[in-house]
Amino acid sequence: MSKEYFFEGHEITKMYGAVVANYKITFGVKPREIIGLVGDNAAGKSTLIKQIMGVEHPTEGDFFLDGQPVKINSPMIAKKLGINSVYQELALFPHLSVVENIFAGELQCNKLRLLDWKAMKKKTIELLERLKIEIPVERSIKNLSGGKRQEVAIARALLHNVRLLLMDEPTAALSVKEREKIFSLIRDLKEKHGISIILVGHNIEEVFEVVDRFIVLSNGRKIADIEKSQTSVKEIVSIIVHGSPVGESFN
Amino acid sequence: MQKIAEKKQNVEKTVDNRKIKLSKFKREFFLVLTIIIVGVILSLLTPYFLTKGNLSALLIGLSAEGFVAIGIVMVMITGEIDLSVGGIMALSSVVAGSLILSGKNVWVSVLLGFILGSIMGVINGWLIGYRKINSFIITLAMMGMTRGVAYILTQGSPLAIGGVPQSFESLGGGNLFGLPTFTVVFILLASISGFGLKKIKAFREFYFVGSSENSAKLTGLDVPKIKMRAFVLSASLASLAGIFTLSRFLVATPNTGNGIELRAIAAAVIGGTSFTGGEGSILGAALGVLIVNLLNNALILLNISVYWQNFVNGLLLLSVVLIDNLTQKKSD
Ligand SMILES: Nc1ncnc2c1ncn2[C@@H]1O[C@H](COP(=O)(O)OP(=O)(O)O)[C@@H](O)[C@H]1O
Ligand SMILES: [Mg+2]
Repeated sequence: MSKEYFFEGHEITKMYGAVVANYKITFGVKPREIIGLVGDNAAGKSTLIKQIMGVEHPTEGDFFLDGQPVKINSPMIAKKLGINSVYQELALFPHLSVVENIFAGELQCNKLRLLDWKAMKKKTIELLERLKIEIPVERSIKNLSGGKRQEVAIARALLHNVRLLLMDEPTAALSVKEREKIFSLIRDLKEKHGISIILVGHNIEEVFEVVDRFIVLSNGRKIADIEKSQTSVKEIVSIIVHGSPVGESFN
Repeated sequence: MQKIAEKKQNVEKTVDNRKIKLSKFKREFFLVLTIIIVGVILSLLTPYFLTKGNLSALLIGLSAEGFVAIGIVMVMITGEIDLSVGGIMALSSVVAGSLILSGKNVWVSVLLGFILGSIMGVINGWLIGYRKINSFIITLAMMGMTRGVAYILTQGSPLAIGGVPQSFESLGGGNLFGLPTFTVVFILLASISGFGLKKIKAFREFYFVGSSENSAKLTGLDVPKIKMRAFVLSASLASLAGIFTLSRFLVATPNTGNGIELRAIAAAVIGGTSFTGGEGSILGAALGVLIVNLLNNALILLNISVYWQNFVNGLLLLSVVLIDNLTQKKSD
């Protein structure tokens, strides 16, 4: 296991019956790094993300955190390990306030076992301030724009200490302007908060702007693992389209 | 410069919060206004409206619906519906009544009737929450079955229960703090539920499930269990309404709570409960119950045939839904 990686996957294989969604994918994540996880439709990107998040479990292969093998049996465990994700469908609650959305699934109670809205509101305000996100915390999600909703979803993933943030197509449903905002937030997360991110996206040109490294999947296999400085948008697109292996994948 | 900008932002924030608070209570405000206006009109039209006898009849009358409406609000917040409340009310009332008539201890009988009614909620919750069957269909079937059993047990005729202890009679017939005990208990239950929906996790979770079931699943909420909770609460409240009604009339009839689902759902919707889930307030529903009953009281006081009641209740529900539909379109 390499020293520069704090999180690693070793020969991760995931079968759905006869379908090989992931096949012997080995990869590592460095601190303060944004990885663009790209590939054609059905290449296996979401499957890999779900396994790191503990939603799905590898048929074979292991994950390592700080060099130690870890079993990520559930999203709860992933969160405890400092891994969290922003779901493509955001998983927000339209009728409820920003505070409630941030604390969904982990509402906090006081000593009397009553919901402590004051504390949750305070923590939400602090969290949003830390991320430089400006949203009135009492507003319902349904009264927010798509971009703001995305920001709430990201903020929620960062409520607890996060080392690795997984984002599966986070900008799929957004306008160009909103996308720019999200990408600048992603950059901030890395630079100001030291968080590593695995970002799944299909617009290579856009993803190219923020990532440090590309991992390309094709038919469930890793066919390229390449630093951004060593490649170009054109080359990545060509790898995805032609499936020609480059980089260290066949070492 | 920056200070000024910051200040401006803070002012905007508080204005924003105030707006939200206002809009949250706007509906309740209109409901209270409506109640006052209808009350004033009624008292001008007939001097009988403000008599102690009429007001106390009005309050006792609305209490059973109040019990039921609380449960309906909880179920509707989760995005489901419970049509079986009236049937469950009749079932628990008739079962308790039959047991009393057979010589069993009154309180044991009442407890058994209540438990049986609540079990109907467990069945609803299991089929809807865990088996994921549509709540409209399940509770429609349950409505038929529960009321059916009430008819079978009584063979269709009312069972008069005499000689019950004063303590039981006073549940539905007595007074407490100058109000009918029935109404005091309703106010108590409504306060607890209203408080619970805001401050108790097990209740608050209803809103999450109703707002987005998929999101609730993804955030790790136990959706089936939460739905089960709502249906059991609804059935228990309906059973309790049945028991109180039995105590009030000292007669167990299989048509107890007939049509109460329509009035309770109307009250909930008037009070701002959404029939697609995620929204609902107990205070609103309580005011809704008051409005529905004021209207029915008006029909009686104005000597309008009782045959108009169902029509008026239905029309009221339709109108509120239409008004909501029109005003929501505007604000979207
Ligand atoms: N739950 C599942 N059951 C069966 N097959 C699945 C399941 N999830 C994904 N797959 C299959 O695994 C492959 C990879 O899917 P996915 O990881 O979603 O790809 P991507 O996110 O790159 O588009 C696809 O062939 C897909 O049909
Ligand atoms: Mg995908």
